Amino acid sequence: MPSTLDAATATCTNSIGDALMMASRTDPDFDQDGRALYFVRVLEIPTPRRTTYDAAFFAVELAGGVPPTHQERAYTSPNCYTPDSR
Amino acid sequence: MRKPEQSLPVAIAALFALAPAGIFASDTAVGPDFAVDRDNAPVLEKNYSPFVGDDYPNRVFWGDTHLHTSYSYDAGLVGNTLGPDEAYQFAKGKQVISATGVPAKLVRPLDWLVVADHAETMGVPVLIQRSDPVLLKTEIGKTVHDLYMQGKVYEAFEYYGLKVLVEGNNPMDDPAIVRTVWEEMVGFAEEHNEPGKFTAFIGFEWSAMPAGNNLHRVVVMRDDGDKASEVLPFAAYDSDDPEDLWQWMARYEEKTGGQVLAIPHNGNLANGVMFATETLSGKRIDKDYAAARAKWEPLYEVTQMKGDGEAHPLLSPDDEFADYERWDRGNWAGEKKTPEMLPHDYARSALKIGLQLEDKLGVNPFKFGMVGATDSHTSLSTTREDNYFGKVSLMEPGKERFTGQIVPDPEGVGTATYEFETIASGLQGVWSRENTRESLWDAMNRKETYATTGSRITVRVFAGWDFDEKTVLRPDFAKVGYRSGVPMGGDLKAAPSGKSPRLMIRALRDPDAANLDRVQIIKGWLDAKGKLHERIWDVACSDGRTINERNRCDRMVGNTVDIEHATYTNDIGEPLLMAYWEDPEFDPKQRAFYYVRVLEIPTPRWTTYDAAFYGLDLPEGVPPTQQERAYTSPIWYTPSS
Repeated sequence: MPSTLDAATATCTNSIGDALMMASRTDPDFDQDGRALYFVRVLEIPTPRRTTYDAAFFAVELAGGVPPTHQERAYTSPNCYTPDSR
Repeated sequence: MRKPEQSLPVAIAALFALAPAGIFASDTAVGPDFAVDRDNAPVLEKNYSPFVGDDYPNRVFWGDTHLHTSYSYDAGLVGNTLGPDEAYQFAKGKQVISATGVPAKLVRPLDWLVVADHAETMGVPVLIQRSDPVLLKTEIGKTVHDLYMQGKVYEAFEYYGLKVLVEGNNPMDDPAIVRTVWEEMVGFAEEHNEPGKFTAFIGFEWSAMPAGNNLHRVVVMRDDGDKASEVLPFAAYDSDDPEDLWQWMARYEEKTGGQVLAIPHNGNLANGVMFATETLSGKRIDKDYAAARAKWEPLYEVTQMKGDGEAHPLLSPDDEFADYERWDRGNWAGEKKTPEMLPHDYARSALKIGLQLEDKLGVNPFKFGMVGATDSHTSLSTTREDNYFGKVSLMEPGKERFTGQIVPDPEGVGTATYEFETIASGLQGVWSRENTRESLWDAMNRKETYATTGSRITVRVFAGWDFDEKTVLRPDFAKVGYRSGVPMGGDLKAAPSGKSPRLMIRALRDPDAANLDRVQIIKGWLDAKGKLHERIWDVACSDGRTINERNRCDRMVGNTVDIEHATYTNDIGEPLLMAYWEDPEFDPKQRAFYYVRVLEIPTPRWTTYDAAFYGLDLPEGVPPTQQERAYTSPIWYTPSS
């Protein structure tokens, strides 16, 4: 995933990524006798980390030890599979 | 205290840029009463939170300015048993049972609604059902009451039409009856108005139809019930001249301190009178008329169940999408429509004529924004193709609804128009921050609102002189749009030398509907010789299509509709389209307007859903699939001199 970051102004653009993603999947490794859970993680394109906004706003150096950009994400609650006999 | 270098002295920097060299050389500046040292001057600080002070519109609120209930004589006398209470409940997302017994529900609630019952004999159907003693004192009231109560519904409606519409009698000439009904209407709106959650505007429809030409106007008040109750609605039998309606509106504002606007009904059945260059009384439009119309009628109902009225293929031969659900056979009196009437019935041509009139008069009478509304008479504001409850209760979902006649053909010249030709349209998006009467009404009055043919497509456009290609890709592009440009409904003036208008557009599909096909800019302008022109540019195409030398997407988007089952899929089109465009033909001396049209991918027409659901043949004369669309309010460019 390339980055559109302009660190000096702490801006990113939506020239990459998609506005809507749709998917369907059949579990290829499904074992009907085993307990399982599935949850979804969604990733945004890279955007400035808060420290990068701060650095641009206050005109200070970027903090060491953290990346200038990150990818925001969503985690859904899981769907659980429980075998009948349990 | 913060160090100065950590702040951004924006205003002071701006002053520097404008000031002659040397003016800030001194370290002390003298005011009228005392001097200020440079070191002690307050420093303007930029806010850390990017949203502090934001006051521009950031949400779309969906609604319908034009809904009839059982309080309208042509609804309540012919089968609609649902009143304003049910209309609001339905708009708020509740499931209701329609007048013909069909359960009905919206995909999502609306945010606001105008119950716009006909002012003419408003409430008569409910007064008849109550056997209201004051109404029964009138001859017409008693006759229609008795017929209706004997079950002679058709005869009651026919008698009523003859006495009231044709002969112009008013069975409610006692103001006491009118007041009773109006206070009920105001009461329903007050009860359902929930600032911040749902807005119930107070309004009515003035239903003038001189010589069979439909000149109706929906009147929308900004105010609460206390002000609205100070007047009684203005009816066509008070006057059928719009200029008299505007005078009534002016008197309302003067008397109450409130505000009111009017929205002309779509002009499909107006036979060239809706945007005529003469007044109804036959005078050429003058500056006073133009100013009054522009003031009182900032919007126009461009699409509704009785057809779409954006453009006509005869007027716009280069527009492949102009032939959309047009109703162009004639008027209510059976007078056939002729080609010279068309420019005065359709929105795009009216916007163009407005430029010409402005050039002559100094004021543009046809400077309107775009509204989509239903004009449904079922109390059910439905605009989706798969959830269409029809124009009137007699034509609610069922096996036999295609053949019902809406427009008659009394002269036998082919003006008849049928229920299957009605369209599941339209809807209005309002850009605002708050869902209140005041905030939404103000947005409508400044034309920051747009029409769709029923889908909840989000669309935003800004015009300015200094945008660049990349700004529309920024998450905060709207902030830039407002800061250095104008939104839909706005005005561009004073073109900087050598610059052309630049437009930024974003369109997002309805989350519960179809992907988008393309975004188009439609420009109209007046040349130096006084001739009017229009041109269309496709500015964003889905599916990786390029824009060809004719300014169009290089191929059609395709069609996924399974007609037999009335289904489609979103494997073509795109959910979001963004565009930047600079007018390549701009002439700063020429008046112009720009508006945006967004097209969805093809989806089944409501008749196709009906045919699949009820196992019917498709009706002939309408296409099985169609492309829903959004029309933004225009942005106008006016030369300096």
